[in-house]
Amino acid sequence: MKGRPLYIAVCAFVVITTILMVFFVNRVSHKARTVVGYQGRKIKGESARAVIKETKDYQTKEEAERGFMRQEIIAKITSGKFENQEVVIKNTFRSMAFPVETNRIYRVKDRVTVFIQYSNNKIARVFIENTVRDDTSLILVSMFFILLILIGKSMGIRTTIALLIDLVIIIFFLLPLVSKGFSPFITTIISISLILSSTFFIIAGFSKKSISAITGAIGGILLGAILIYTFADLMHFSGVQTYWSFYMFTLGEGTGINFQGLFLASMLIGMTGIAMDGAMDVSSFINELYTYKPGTNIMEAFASGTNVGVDVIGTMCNTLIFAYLGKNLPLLLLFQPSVINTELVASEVIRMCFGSVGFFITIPITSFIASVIHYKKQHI
Amino acid sequence: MIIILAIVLVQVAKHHVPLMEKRVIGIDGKKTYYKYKYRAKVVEVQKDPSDSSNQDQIITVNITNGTFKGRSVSFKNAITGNPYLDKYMKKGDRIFCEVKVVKGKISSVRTMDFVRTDYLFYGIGIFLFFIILICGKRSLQIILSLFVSFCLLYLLVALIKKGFNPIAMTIIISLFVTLVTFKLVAKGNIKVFSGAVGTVLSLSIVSMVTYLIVSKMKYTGVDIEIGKIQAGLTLWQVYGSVLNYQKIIVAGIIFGALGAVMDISMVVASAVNELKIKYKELSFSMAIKSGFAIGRDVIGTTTNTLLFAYAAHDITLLVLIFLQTQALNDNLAFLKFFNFEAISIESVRIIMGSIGLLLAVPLTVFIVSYAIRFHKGTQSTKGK
Repeated sequence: MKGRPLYIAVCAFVVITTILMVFFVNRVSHKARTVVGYQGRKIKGESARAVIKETKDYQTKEEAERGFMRQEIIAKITSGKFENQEVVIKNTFRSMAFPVETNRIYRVKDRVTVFIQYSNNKIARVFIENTVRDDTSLILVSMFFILLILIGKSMGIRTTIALLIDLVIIIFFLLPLVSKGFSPFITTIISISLILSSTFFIIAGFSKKSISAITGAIGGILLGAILIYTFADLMHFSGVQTYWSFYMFTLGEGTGINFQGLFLASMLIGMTGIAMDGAMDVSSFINELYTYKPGTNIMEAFASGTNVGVDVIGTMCNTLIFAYLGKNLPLLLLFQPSVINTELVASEVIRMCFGSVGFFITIPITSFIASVIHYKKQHI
Repeated sequence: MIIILAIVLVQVAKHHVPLMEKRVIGIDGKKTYYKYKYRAKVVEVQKDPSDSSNQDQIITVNITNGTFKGRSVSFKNAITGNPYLDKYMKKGDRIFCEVKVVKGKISSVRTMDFVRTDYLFYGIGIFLFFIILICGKRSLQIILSLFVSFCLLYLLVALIKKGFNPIAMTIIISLFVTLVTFKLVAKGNIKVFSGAVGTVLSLSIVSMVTYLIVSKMKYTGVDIEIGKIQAGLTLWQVYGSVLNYQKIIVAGIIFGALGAVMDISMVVASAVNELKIKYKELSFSMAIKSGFAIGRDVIGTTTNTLLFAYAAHDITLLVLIFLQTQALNDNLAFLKFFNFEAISIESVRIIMGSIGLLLAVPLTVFIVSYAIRFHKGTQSTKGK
């Protein structure tokens, strides 16, 4: 019971950090690039946050028939240079048009981000950009960590730390290097190794168990990588017809980003989690086995390790496949047999198949390495 | 054997399957012409001498199926500089080409895409091969459970298209998926039952919370981007306002989390059940305590599975945000992106999936601890 205050303290810390971050995020404003406008005047822009104070709807009969509605919105800016100023924004809603972000009816108390054009410190024009969503996401993140700590106790705290370290590796190592044009494949392999070692050392401690799990998982991922590389080459994946690359291409043109490499790297990262999971189960089983039955034969240990792994495969194989399918659910609604040949669908299928294959291979490799390490330790 | 089967399948598909030969009838002035989709092999690639600035290719291909089998044709393969449309050909590449036929003669040829379907079959073959290699006898159950899951998914998609409530349908379908998978993979009614109930309860809670969040955050549900196809726009053009896109997003989130939730509740349920079999005097509170202990051990690595699977898809997105932040020369510019619907949905997907995973532990522990009181521990000891 001595641990309980610690968990409460950590949870309280998470809550306070979240409140501070939400507060900070809602005070933020972004400068936009200066545009030279009409008659050579310099128009500057800023995106800030605002709360809607008043709305006035009006529509003529003709507009009502055509599904149009106009709104005059009075909004109060809550961050940035023009804080506390009230502005008038005009908005048109078309019920027949594609229901994107900006095509909707606003109501009082809606929180939005606005783009403010100004010259000589005077507001020229204001547009609504987006609904404010980031603070809710932050609250969700903290909810996740609190649940993780409450349910997982000490393991929860360790997992939290491991996840934060993973995030640091991805944001401060992988992304900068890739966006500078380094080979995505090599960078990813290095970051995956870093992620694997940090996670295992934090979760399982520095032991034979974690070393064999790390080597096993890396082995499985590398073999999966070879398969994915071969098939990506055979199937002519360009990497520019996948998730998000539509926007990526215009931005990344001058930076020398290797799109195919980035795409393959993403497949490898997807494999990491599941390989980690499988490797951990197998290696901790073999560790237990040698604790209870020190004299176990190497082949016997390998066989029962693989056996345990196979138990895991049954349910875990679904994890990866369902995660990818769930993500592509809108795409499945549009599915026709003729799209199988397109890069997007083909790459998703390859991702599912070879992601799982990498995980399958991890199990015998981990089992073998773990048995060898434990066996040698006892006999030398 | 599986690989041989795959090779045979591909060979059959290559030469006989009529799906590969698509016929379009169009009216060109007054003439009616036909368009066929044939497979072809690139025999020769030359640079177009007429324009030196462009990189247009003149390729000669050998048609390998259909009525014009064995015929060689050469045509221009335009390179426009647009990465979505450009297809650089090399000698030996196998492609689909669209052949326009007027009065039984080839009038013009156009490249469509590289042939990918064959390799997809090989890929699935390799996947099945590795399952069989590693799992041996039990591979049959795994393949069967995957097959049933895919059939149920097909049913789910059909039901959503019909206009049924996507969230309710997903929960019902996931109950069936869980029951089938557990029944095939594990033995013993108690653990199958409590695992399935734990999974479905946790998914229901997550779906309710997610739906609340999705409507509070005012998602339209169609502002999503999937590769070159802007899925949201296409969906909206096809189905209009018939479907509830917000609920489809929630359904996608639940279905994505299903695999991981299933995994963790299976582990907890079978471990507690096994304990009861080995140790008959296991009381309710002891069962809960050890159930939590087991769940805790698994949480650490299982949360990673889902997080990494999703994060992998979003790695391009992360690089995009990173580049944009650099371009704007504002260190806080990345914050702006988390207000965009498409990006915000991804973060909600990751977090709500993981929360579902976490909730599955206490729910399953309580259910299984309650359920094992009613069983004597005599059944389901087979195999262990």
